[in-house]
Amino acid sequence: MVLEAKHALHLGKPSSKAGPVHVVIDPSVLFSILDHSTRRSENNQRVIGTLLGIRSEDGREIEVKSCFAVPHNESSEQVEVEMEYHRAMYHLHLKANPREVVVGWYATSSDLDAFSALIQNLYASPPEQGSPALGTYPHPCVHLTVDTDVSTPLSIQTYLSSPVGITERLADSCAFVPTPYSIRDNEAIRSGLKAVAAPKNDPSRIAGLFTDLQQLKRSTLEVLSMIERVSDYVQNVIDGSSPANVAVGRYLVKCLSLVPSIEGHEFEKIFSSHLQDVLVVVYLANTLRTQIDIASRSISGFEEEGYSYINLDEQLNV
Amino acid sequence: MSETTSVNIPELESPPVERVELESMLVMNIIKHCRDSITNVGTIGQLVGIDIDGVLQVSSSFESPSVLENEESAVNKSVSGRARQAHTEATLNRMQYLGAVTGHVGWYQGTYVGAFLNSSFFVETQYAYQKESPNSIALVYDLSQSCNGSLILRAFQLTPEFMAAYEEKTWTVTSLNKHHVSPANIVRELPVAIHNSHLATCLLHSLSEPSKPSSLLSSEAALDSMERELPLTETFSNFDLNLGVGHKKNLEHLLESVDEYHYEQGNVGFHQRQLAREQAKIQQWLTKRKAENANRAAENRPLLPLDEWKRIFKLPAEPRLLDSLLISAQIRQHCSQVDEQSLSFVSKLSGVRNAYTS
Repeated sequence: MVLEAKHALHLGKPSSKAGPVHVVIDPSVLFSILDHSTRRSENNQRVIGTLLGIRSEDGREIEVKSCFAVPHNESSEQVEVEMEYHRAMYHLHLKANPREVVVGWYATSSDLDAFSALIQNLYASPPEQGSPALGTYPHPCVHLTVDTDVSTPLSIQTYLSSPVGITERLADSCAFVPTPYSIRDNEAIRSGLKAVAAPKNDPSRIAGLFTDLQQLKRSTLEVLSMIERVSDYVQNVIDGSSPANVAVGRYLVKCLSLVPSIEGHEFEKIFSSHLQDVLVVVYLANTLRTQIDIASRSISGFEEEGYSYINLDEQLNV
Repeated sequence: MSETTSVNIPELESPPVERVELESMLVMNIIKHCRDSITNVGTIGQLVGIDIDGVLQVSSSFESPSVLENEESAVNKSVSGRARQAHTEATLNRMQYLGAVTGHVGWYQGTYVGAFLNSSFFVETQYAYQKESPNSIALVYDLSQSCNGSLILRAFQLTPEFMAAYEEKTWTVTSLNKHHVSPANIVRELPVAIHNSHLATCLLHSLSEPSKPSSLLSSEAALDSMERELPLTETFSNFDLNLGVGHKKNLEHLLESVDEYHYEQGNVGFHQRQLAREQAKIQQWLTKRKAENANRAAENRPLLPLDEWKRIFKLPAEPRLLDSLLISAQIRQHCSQVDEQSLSFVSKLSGVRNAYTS
């Protein structure tokens, strides 16, 4: 019984250390997981890998920032995970990025079975004496599942685990508690996602990157179409052909009142002066570029004037 | 364009690359790595992919240990360069074990306002890569200008003229002229396209479609919260009417580059004056010699050779022109960027002005 991810109620037993309450996922991790799932071998139903990231100071938030795949083999009786590979990749990763540590693991099927519990305990267990830490001990371990079965819509779940069960079978049983997650969202990621999402409606799934001006044109056209739709709706409401919705109407009035009301000629003054500043800078930049070109020509014209060493000989032996 | 490598196997030569296709995963990885690393300038990583028929398909990337500030000395550079190479090879091996698409096709770098040409690091690294496999590219992600909904990610290769000039390692006027190298044709840019796999397309669709709550339009709060939720909702932040921090930084960098260029030009001027002085001295000596020879001819004595000036006078060494070449190229870049940014700003400004005055 899995609760809806956004409305999970996290009940933890009172302890001195607060457990993590929230997981933030970077979208690059999701893309990597999907890419890895396209390369799975035939005898495995899913692929697994390690999640890397950072934990906040008080432990209440875990940020998942990157991942790498770990080969594993699954049969009906047993599962093998190549921890040697995990160790080697983790060390390589630490050299490039020393701040990220192991925070959990991922799998590409949304079933949670005994093997998941085994792997979870493997990642959360303390390392042997004398060897470096490879798992998330003593911190709790995050499990992320991405359902890549194309018959159901793509669903992402995050879990934290707590041990459950009697001591003999402690190793392969644990309770997965669903944890709310959110996708990391800042301006850079948004702009990247927007560029990447450009081909999503295109059957060939390829699109070029747009320059600033082209972006501007597309945004303007979009805004124009949105304004048209809204004005059609308003016209319909006035004519009586669509039911009026008070919330929408109030929202529209609020938006329209955001337009500042300044006199036309004052605007003209402010804008012209700003415009002139910008144009001066552009002119100077272009002049600079032309001057650099001239300078490089004059250096390369060195030779023609006879100042090079090859010609010195002929010159002097007149 | 591809120069043959030392082993001549004609079937393995591939046509020169005309286009670059990147996977979406790659773009997100590069953005995340460059944004999150501490030094915003020395972040580099490697690209993995394959080139087919003139299209370079880059499928994934991984991070390399970053370039530190104190790498200017040759010793430090070689040590960390070797460490980075070992790291790259080990990671590539591991990835191939998993069945990733093989082939190391280039590297990427994060940069600030497009200032990647003024250090020789870019040029040297790209030269080393291109020497081994002529189709490697360098991707440059611009941190400061990729804001307001635009993504600046460009692919570069060194031009064959520049590669030929680099091989000679003497940066004199004659070698530059022989290879027709000018600041405008040091690097050439390749068009970049983005390619998504099917699953990635599913993910993008699911990120942009909201899950509909049951009471859709019952309150304004619901409308507001629906707007903010999704990473892919359009914010139209590129309608912002300010030139942004990037523009100012661009200009600052431009001024710094101009200062450096001035310094380099000072060197060249100094050398020129030295050369002129030496030449004047040589001419004087030569005229003295000729006068003496005329005397000797009159007295029927053996003539003194006229070539001895080569041994007596040492001409000053020509300064290395590589740095001024790179700085000029960098200045050109900055100027074009100022141009482009101002262009979109001016269009927005005139659009708003028309709306108010009409």
